[in-house]
Order: sequence, then structure tokens, then C-alpha cells
Amino acid sequence: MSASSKNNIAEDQLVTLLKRQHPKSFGYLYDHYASSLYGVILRIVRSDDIAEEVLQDVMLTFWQKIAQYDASRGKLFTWMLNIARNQAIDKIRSRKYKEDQKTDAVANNVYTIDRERYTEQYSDDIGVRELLSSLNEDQRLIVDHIYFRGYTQSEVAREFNIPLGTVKTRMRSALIKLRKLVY
Amino acid sequence: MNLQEYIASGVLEAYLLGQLSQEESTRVETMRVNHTEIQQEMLRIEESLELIAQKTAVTPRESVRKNIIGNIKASGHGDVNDEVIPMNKPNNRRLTYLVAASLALALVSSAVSIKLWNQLKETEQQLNNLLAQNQQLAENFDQANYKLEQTNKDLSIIVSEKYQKVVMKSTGSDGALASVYWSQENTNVYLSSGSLPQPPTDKQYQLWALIDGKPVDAGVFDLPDGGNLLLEMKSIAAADAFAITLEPKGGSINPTLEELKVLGNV
Repeated sequence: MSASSKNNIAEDQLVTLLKRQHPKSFGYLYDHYASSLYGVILRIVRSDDIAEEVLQDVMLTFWQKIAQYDASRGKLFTWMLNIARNQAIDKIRSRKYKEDQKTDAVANNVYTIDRERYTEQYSDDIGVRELLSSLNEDQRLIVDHIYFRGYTQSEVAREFNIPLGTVKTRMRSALIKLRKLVY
Repeated sequence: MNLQEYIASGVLEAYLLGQLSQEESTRVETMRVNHTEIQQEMLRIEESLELIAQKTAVTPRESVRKNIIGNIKASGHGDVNDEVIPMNKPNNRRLTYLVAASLALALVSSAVSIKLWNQLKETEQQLNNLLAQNQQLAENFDQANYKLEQTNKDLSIIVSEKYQKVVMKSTGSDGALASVYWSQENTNVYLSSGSLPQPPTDKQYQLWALIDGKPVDAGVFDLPDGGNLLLEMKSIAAADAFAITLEPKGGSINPTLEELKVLGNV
């Protein structure tokens, strides 16, 4: 994050305000990070309704657990990103989510429509497509599954029969490439 | 393993994406504290992760912000004053407002119900119309498909080497022409009625196969309406010639030779 300007406050200042539970700090937190996190959550859970639910939960978690955040262990966004990813992944692995998806698929067309919307909105959204297109096929597979879909490294290693060490180095080389694009 | 190798292994990325076990994580954290190089590399990766998320951000619906702030207030965890309207303490005046508000709400919801009911009816009507259209389209499709199949079948007969074409020419001066496609091998006979004129309403055309001068009935037929489709006639095992006569409706046992229209030798 760039240093403070008129509308931006430095990350350490924001953390201080949040830890003091300053009434206005939450709105600021939401306005600055909700969209980034919502994109991450949405690509994992693939449904607006569920993603909104997860976003609400994680924003509440940030507010309640901010005292546990330790700046020496990483940036504020990394802390939030991992909470968001974990809750999104927990959500899609929960029994209820699976049952809902199943019922929808069998019972009516709503699911089909959702899927269509999904392909249009999320998987093909320009930002992601542009980023993924800069990667080679090996890297794309890793980033798509781990970063955008919430697979674990071990799952990708097992499913695609790639050594775990290779999964890690490919993730690294992919992030280095992506960094050049987004920086 | 030196630091460069450690960094290159991708373990830092895995840590930052929450992919490591507790034990592995602790090791990374120790490394971070003890090596500036690792600390710097991790900051770079964290920055990348944040920038990627920004680049691929999706804006949630506007209502989400309000809901979340409302929820935090309701959870009793601290004060969040941003865009939250402060609530008044309950009193009588408030009660009056509440009653008035309830009544207004009831009226509005009735109006909304009626509107929704009308919309539902309208939607049902639209659905029925669409279903009917769909049915019509399906029928049209079936018909077109059937015609296509027929045409393909006709075409396969016309081009087949198994079928011999026998052109029957007018015995009079009207220039009428018709053809038979006959397969001696499987005894099938198909007729193309060509330029035969429409018969009088009390008459029908009848096709004959002639063997050693004797006529064998090959079936009566009407002119096909629309296109010059092949008509499947009765099977004929052997023939020297084919001919068409005009007969009373339903056909005759023996051909009416005065009414011989076209004739062609095999």
C-alpha cells in the first residue's frame, strides 16, 4: 500500500485505529478491502449469496479478532486474505453447501442459470483471464486451483500427480510473473 | 539449504497462502525473524498477493456494507458509527410512530401483494404463450426434419446404381412424362409422376408393369402435392416395360388401354 494521502491512511495507523475499535475505522477497512476480498471469496464459493454471507462473517471476524493480528508476522491484508480464504473454503466443504448445490442441480433450472452467470461473471472476468493468460500452462493450473479456487497444494499435487515440491516452485514462479503484471 | 534455495523452494508463498502445517509455519516465522532477506522477500510476496486481489476485485452489492455494519452493532462488539442511524429510546411517541408505521407497512404490503399477484398472473400467461410457441417450433422442426429425411431417401434412390431409371413418354401429343426407379434386385418400384396433368376428380392414375405383354398392377396413385417426391409403388419382380393409365378411382384389375397415358421400355 502506498503511503498516506488525503484518503489513505497508512496500514499501521489503520491497525492502531482498529485495535482501539475507533468507530470510523471499520467503514474505512470495508471500503478499502471488501472488494478485493469479495473477489477472492466469490471465486471460491461461486455464488453471490454465499459470498456475501462469507464476506459478512469475515468482516465481523476482523473486527472482533483484530487484537490477535500481529504485524510482525505479516501485512494486514495477508491476515485478512487467509481468514477470508479459509472461511470460503470451509463453506464449500460444509455439508450444507454441497447439499444445496446438489438439490439445485437436480431440482430446477436455477442452478443452470447460476452456472451460466458464474461462467460469465467470475471465471471469465477480464482481470482473472488477463492474469492467467500471462502464465504458462503449468503455472496456470496451479494458480487457478490454489489461488482462485481454494484447493490446497497437497490436493493439487495428488489430483494432477505433480510432486509437492514442484507445486510450490511453480506457485512461486507464477507469483513472480504476476507481480510484474500487477505492480 | 542456503537462503536463496530456501526462498526459491516456494515455501514462503505456501506459508503466506496458509498452506503449511503448524510446524512448518513456525519454522518460516523463525526464519523471517532471523533473516532480513527473508523478511524482505515475504513483504514482496505479500504485496503481490494484495495487488493480485486488487486487480481481480469484485464489488459486492451495496446492501452488504449496511448489513455488515448493522450486524456488528447487533453483535455488541464495539461501536461502529459509520452511516448507522442512531436509535431513539422507546417512549410513547415512538409507539405512535410504530403503530402508524405498521399500518403504513400493512397497506404497502397489500399493495405490493396485489402487484405481485398480477405480475405472477402475467408471467404465467407469458409462460403459457412461450410453451405454445415452443410446441409449435418443435412441430415445425419435426416436419422439416421429416421432409429432409424424405428428400434424402429420394436422392439416395435416384443416385443408387441398384435402381434403373425407366422414362415413360406420352402416348399422345401432350408431352407428358413420368419415370420409374426400379430395382430388380430388391423388386422395389418408385415413381416420379413428372409432368402428368392433374386427373379428373373421379379418376386416378394406375401404374402397370408389363411382362411378356401382360399387365401387372403396380398400384394407383395421386399426384403428390408440393415437390416432385418419389412415390413408393408395389413391388415388381420382373418387367419389360412400365405404363400408366387413367382408371376409375381405386384402380382396375385390367388396364383401360384407351386411357394409356405414358409408356416406357426397361
